[in-house]
Amino acid sequence: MSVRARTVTVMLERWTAEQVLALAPDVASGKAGSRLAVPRPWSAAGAAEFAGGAGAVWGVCAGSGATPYRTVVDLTGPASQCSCPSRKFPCKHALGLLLLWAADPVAVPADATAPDWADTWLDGRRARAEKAASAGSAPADPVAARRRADQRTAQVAEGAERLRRWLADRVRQGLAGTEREGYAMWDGIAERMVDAKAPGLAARLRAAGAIPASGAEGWPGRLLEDYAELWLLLRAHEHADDLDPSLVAGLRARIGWTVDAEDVLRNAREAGTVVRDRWLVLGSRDSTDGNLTERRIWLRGERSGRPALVLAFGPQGRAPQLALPVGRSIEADAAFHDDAVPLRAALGERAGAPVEGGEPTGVGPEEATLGYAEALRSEPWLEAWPVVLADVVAVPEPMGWRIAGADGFWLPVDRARTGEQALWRLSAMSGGVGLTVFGEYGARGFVPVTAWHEGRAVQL
Amino acid sequence: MRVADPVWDDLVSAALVGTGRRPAAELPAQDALGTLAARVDRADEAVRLLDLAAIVMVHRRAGRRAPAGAPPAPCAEVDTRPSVPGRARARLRILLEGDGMDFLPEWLALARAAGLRAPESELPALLTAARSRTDLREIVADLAGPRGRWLAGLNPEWAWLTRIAVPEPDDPVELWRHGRFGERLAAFEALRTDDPDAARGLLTRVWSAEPAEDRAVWVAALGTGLSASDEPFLEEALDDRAKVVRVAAARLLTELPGSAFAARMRERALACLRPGGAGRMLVVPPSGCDAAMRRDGIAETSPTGREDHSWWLGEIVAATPLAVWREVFGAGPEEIVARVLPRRFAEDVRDGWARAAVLQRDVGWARALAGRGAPTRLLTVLPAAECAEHVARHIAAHGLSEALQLLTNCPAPWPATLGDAVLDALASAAEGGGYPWSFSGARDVAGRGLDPAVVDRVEHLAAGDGEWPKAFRALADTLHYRATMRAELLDN
Repeated sequence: MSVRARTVTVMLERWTAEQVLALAPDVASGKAGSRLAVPRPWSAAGAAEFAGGAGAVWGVCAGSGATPYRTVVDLTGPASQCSCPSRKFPCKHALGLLLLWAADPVAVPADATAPDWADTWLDGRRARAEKAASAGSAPADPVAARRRADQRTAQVAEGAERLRRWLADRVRQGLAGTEREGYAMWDGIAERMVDAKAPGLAARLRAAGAIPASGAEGWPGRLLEDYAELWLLLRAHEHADDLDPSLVAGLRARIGWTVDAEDVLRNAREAGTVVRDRWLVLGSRDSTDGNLTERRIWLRGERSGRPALVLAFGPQGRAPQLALPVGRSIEADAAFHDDAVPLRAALGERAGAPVEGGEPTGVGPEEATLGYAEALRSEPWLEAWPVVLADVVAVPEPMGWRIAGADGFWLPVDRARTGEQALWRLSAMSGGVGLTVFGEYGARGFVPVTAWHEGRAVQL
Repeated sequence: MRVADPVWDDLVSAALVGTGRRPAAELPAQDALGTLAARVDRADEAVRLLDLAAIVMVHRRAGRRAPAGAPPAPCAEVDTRPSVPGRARARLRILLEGDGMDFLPEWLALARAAGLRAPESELPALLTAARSRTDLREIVADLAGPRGRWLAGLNPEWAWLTRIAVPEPDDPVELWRHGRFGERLAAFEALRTDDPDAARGLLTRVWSAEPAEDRAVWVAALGTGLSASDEPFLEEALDDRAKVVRVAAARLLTELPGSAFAARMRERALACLRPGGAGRMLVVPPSGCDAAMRRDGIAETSPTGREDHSWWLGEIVAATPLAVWREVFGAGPEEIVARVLPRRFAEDVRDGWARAAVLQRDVGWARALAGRGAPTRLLTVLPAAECAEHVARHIAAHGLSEALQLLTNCPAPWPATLGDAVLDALASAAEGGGYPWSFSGARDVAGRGLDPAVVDRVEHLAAGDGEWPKAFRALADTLHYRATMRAELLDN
């Protein structure tokens, strides 16, 4: 037998159903998708691996209408395209196709040849990615952009002044009695902040408004804490000219300025600060504020050890386009925002499809509090900091849930952002024996997001 | 956990009252926080309080440390059964969230048959589901295993699980003395299997200290290894102060044909039913419900508002050992059932026999009574194959819509005889030009009950255009879905 050099081809790894369902924008889509994960409606389905580890799955789905839908998924995004009218991303056809691919190698054969319609879309994506990687474009009209920015700065300054007066009035008159106020008082001032283009302040005010109404013990202390947090931002904003620019970036983000991910990437490319790493997807969580869905995706660089937080938004009730499978890792460029403690990041060019990631290393509850304190030193208004806890269990105690380490040290749970089910799920998986748990620890306690159980990541 | 912090507490007090009335106190000047606080502008007390609150808040946040406590007690028992494969786990999560079609019972049955344990991550949802769905409790308890029992001990919402017997206890006597209810129940059943009399002796010792609800369960547990020697105990339980216990004792005594209870019931039964001429039956309902009848578990009035005499009659027939009737009529169940009953009491007598057949698990009587209009639970007495054949015949004779209730009671997947009968009926309805939507109920039941292996025949029926093929395609999709569910659990 002769030994010959050969090209190593890695078979495109099929995902698990759990990884596919993690992409579902909501529970209904997941269910609808799982109903489509049967061979019948699909024809001309296939999957293929392309150069550089990229992969795609495609298929034609016969629906109730006369024209079947063409669905194609680029596993590198993952991103999908479907000729159906759904405004969800990914739509149920894309989810169903991925589930079928995950379950049934006969219905969706590997190493197939993509049909022209799928190829066209995939080529388009590739071309756009290359173009984005090679060039950056300057704003169309720098003068007009400058003028708009100045206008907004003035509006926010005016709103901030109004809120300062409002807060001072509140503590001058006393918080007592606010528990009988109802939401209208906070909604009113929050609305003013929206008008002043400071949606971040508006969201904080609405959250504060829920505290006295809850009537829970200790509400005056928690309300004052929320007011103090707003006050801190307002004071810092007032003196922004004296602050370090990196501190101002985080401050502006909290007040409500958004930064275009493309700008962050372009700036980082120009400055040569792009971080290429294999990023483990630690967790993903959606929250909705009015019509806007915000998806927070936490990553950790396997080589750099750096934490990163990628935000994606879905306007008008749509799910954010960006979805990354929790527990897997992706080789990609990341550009960090110019923050005092870098965390927020934009994802740039990706190489290859996500692959199975390992269980991350973690720390104990004590180190988690130190980690938050350390981050707080650089950015005093940080509410939480991502942390992987090693060897912890969730324990229901009469005074509330604890996330406890093997040594007995424990963190309280932020119940405003943690459901009962997540905690019991954590408890059930641990059986009282420590697990690796990713979450955020901060001012209001720990929020568990992902747990690793028997070698796999489980979203809580 | 709340740690005392006088500086912060003073700020909260001042804010609560309002700085207009009570300004914030001075901070102690000895540390860095005090030095910083001293620099805060005093022009406006409200602004000063907010400035101080902002500083103290950050200081507090940065200084908070993880409190120490005792490490928690882990779950001692290890479940050696393999967990379900990853794809099956994802499916379970979808089933628990509810996907319109209720395939959860089938999933659970398949997992149990495959000797798997429930995925830990889904235990909370499973235990919650079985809290409201009592039909799932036994199987969920089994699949959840020791981890589920450990978890249920932490959450009162899942207390139902701690009341279900654990499988095969190691040291039943020890467990009987010190275990939780479910453990004691398992221990008792194990002890009854070994030495029924000794087990009853243990029960007698603690009897008066047990709560009524538990006493009723213990009485029912005597069903394991039941014999004539249990009779005195059960007779005594008929005088229990709790009704649930009396009812449970009466129910068990019907299973002891030689008992004094059975003799009393026989006496009453003989007064009620007698052979009349020409294949008829004479019925004389009891004239009243005396103290002795009440003691034997017969309620004075019907809970559903049935006329008193009819109600007492039905209760007596249901509690009488079925063997009595052979003695009275000198014939088997077939002939007895064939006799003509007076219209007014026919339903009560037939219903009483049916209940007796179910309670006494009498196949002969169940077979004789099963038929059009008979209660569906009679079928649970028949062996599975016979039950399927019975329903198949019923479909052939009376049509599919008549058999829906029976079909829901046939354990899935249906044997070939029954599956063929249902598909034959659907196919002929399609050929005969019936409206597909008038069979949608039958199709749903078929989707849950048919063996996924018959999918080829359904596919064949689904060929072509139109409403019926479309309906068959939907049915085929359901079967594919269930086949996938199976394959996922068996990981092939």
